[in-house]
Amino acid sequence: MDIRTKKKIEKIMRYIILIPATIIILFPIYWMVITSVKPPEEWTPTPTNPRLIPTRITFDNYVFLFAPFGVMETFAQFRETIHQPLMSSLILSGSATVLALVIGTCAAYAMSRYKAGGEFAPFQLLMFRMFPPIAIIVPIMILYSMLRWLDTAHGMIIFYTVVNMPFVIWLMKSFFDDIPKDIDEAAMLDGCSPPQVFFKVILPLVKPGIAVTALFIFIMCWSDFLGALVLTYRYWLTLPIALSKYQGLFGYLYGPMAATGVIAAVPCMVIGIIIQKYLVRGFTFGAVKR
Amino acid sequence: MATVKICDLTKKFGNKIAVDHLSFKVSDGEFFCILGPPGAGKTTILRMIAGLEKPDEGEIYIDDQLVNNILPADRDVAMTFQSLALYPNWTVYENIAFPLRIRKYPKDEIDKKVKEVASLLKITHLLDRTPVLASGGEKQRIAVARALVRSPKVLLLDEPLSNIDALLRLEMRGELKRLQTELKQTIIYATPDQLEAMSMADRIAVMNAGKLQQLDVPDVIYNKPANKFVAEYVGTPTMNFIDCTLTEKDGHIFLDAREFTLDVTKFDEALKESYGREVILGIRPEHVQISMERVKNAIEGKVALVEPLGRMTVAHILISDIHMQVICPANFKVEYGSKVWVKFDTDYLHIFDKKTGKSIL
Amino acid sequence: MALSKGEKLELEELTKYFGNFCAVDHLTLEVNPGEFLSLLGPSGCGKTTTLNMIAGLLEPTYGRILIGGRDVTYLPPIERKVGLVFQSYAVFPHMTVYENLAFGLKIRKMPKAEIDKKVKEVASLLQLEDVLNVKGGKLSLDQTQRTALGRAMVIEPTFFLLDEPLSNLDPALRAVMRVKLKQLQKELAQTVVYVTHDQLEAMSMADRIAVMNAGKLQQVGTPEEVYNNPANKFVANFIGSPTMNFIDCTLTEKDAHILLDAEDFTIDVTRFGEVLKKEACGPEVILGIRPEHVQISMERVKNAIEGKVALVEQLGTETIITCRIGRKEIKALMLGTYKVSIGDRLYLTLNMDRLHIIDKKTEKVIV
Repeated sequence: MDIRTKKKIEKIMRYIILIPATIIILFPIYWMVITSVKPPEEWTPTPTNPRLIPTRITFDNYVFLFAPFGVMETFAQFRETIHQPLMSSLILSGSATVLALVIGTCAAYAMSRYKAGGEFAPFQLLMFRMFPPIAIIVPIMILYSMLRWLDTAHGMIIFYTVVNMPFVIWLMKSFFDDIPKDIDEAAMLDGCSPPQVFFKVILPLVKPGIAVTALFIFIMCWSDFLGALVLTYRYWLTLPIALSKYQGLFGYLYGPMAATGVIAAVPCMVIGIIIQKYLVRGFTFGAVKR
Repeated sequence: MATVKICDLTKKFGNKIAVDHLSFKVSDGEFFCILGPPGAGKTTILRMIAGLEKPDEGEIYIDDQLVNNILPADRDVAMTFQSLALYPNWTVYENIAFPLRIRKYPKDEIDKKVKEVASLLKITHLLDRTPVLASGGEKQRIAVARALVRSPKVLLLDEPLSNIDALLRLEMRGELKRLQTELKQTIIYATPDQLEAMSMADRIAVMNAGKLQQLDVPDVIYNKPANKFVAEYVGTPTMNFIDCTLTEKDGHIFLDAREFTLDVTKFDEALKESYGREVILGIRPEHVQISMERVKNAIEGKVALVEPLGRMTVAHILISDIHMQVICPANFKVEYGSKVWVKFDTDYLHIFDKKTGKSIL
Repeated sequence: MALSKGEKLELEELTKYFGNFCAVDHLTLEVNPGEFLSLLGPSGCGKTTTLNMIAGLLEPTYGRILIGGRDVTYLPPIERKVGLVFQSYAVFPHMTVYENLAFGLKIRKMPKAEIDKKVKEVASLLQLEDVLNVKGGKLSLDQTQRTALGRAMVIEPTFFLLDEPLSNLDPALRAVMRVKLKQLQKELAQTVVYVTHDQLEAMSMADRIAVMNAGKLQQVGTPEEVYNNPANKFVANFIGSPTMNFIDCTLTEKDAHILLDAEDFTIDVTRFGEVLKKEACGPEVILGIRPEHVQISMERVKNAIEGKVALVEQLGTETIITCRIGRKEIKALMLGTYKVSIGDRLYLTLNMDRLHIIDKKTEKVIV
């Protein structure tokens, strides 16, 4: 079979696989968004009436989250606003991301250029992280209890930072490794002291790496359930925990749940859009023509 | 513009000796070339002078000042890397301006110097672009501009022309040499290409496996190589080498190769101590005369390969199993397998001791 | 070894566009069986693209490729039986030399005994027998290149395509490998298409050279033809080291003599009068003369051009002297070591038999 027909067949096969895959992946998001604007009657689909498209759109679910009085009185028992979990998630995830990035990037640079910690240090760090969280969460809780760090901001931030550090180091080190050492040396000859080399020359070059890592870590912290569940109980509950609270005796409050989900997705999407331009610019500098 | 002095410089990487007790002096404004095959230690020497590697032994003096413990940034030495190491996220202007910005030069002075250097290297039209889009030759010139912008005491060039097209390479060679003469810049240039070294250098240091083989002007290195390595490495096509024994018979001295004997009595003085030794006869392709007819005292051989190079032709001749290259005029027509007769011009004969490789004649 | 005799390769109007960019423009070329043809040109001229199309890695936008008379334009590479040797050798570092050589045959599902026989044949031909069990990553450059060649040879292709295989080697090794490659090719009588940007390589190895620039074929001919009778300015400039001298001149006529007027000096070219009158598109021409055809003398010679030494390059075997005449420069090549200093006065004589006159507009060589 010659090249031309083979290419045509390849093209068709691609679409046959991609289109259903896309639908399957995007469907939950679609469902979440429309459920968040559905009135209570339409929350649950039935075989006879899948309710793919809402007949009526209402923002009651959102209002419920922010000011549960006056809306959907039947669910008055779930009278907890979303302000606290939202703030909590933002503060904890944001701080931990920044902290982990700052410390991890410096460590990654040291490991990349000066082989700090030995040749296998990054790998060893990653191995530690491979421990199933379930196995170690209880000892951590006990430790925290002794330190009186349970349900505190600093406790949670430290937890998230430490837990994500290996990823930061692993990712950033590979970005640093991609920059030839020659550039460091050229900068040194141009007159930079080693810190200047790092801050003025190398760091700008890994901007896309930092952007990608930041997003990755932020999502890891943001969607953490186990850690927040065990280590907080009142003041620092996070959005994933808040979501789980919408369980009633007679079923789940899908509407507010979906609304929470949509609100939870927003910060991640915003960050993603912001770093887009860094991603694009970053991947062109590797272009080398013979 | 400064002098550079190296004393007894040694560098080891694990068990491997990269540079072995090297000493030399570079004068102010000199174009000094370090020539050698890959792995000879050229890059290591440059890096030690720049301060990127610490020598295990020895001292480096720039302008008679000991610089062993001075940071690269403070040595006032500029280097271009084989990989060029241009900053990819900045424009060419910013690349060139960087060394001056770090040293906190005033803005208008930076601007003046950058524009000066850019016009010198003919890259003014590239100043607003990123270096990624430039061609190989242009990238090279940007790297040199960045190095020259702060008028360093010494400019180190590490195989700068190796990644460029053959044609452009010729042009850049001429430009670099002209630049150096104009600016009177002290340059230390590392290259494996003997043609580059021969055409540009004031003096050449030939290196092999970390050891200095010979240090002299191009002329002497070509005509009076100190040992077999230098003789083989410099000159293209390479010198022909034939194993012989030096024998004496009836007051005459002969070079005895299996297929022929050569009377070398006229060099009696120099060869006196070497009777009976195993030696290597060396003669450059341009000093071998070739003819289609039998000539007196000539050696018979067969043509194995012909390389027409335009202005001359290189014929590969087989004398039993000795392979020789001979330069013939461009219109010399030979066929594969045809018989030819070769004669050596004894004025240009070289004799090397087989064991040590050192030149006896 | 029972390598099949080389086959004839024909390219008809081969064209390749990448979007709007024309990489190869209506290339028509013939390679005779057993011939060593070199595709010569600067980076980006389309030679690698052409090679990739012949190999089957790229689809041409237009045109045909015929091997031994068969139209192979749209056949996948595996069915074309071409041996391709890349610039970066593509020798698998984690496999031994034996496994590398056997790879192509294993893919083609040849029986084990036959693979063994063929691998051993090729190994002895290329003198790789003692390194058959060495891992690809641990070979010297020279051995890597032979292994890459061997991998191409073992599938018994009808012809070989080499893409700048020597450019990664240092100059000394390159010279040695050039000779070896050429000898091998002559022994085995294979058809070879060799891509390079180094005119020295092309001149020393090829039976014929095809010079390309910006996707277009500039000239095809034997090394002597391309050197002594370049078709246009590009070929004249590209071939030959040091490069040809080019001086802008104007054709003028005076007293039935035709002169080349170069502001600072004049040359009588009446002997080319007829050709010039026919072919020249205008009075603006370029004078081309190779440095080895410029004679230098320290004393005044009749009809010589006076100049001053601007640059001296001692190359051992010869010396290149750049002379400045007014605002123009001419390079001259002298054999041996010629002693001159910068600023000396010299007298240049041009070899009239080797003069080239190039029309300035069309850049075609008239004489």
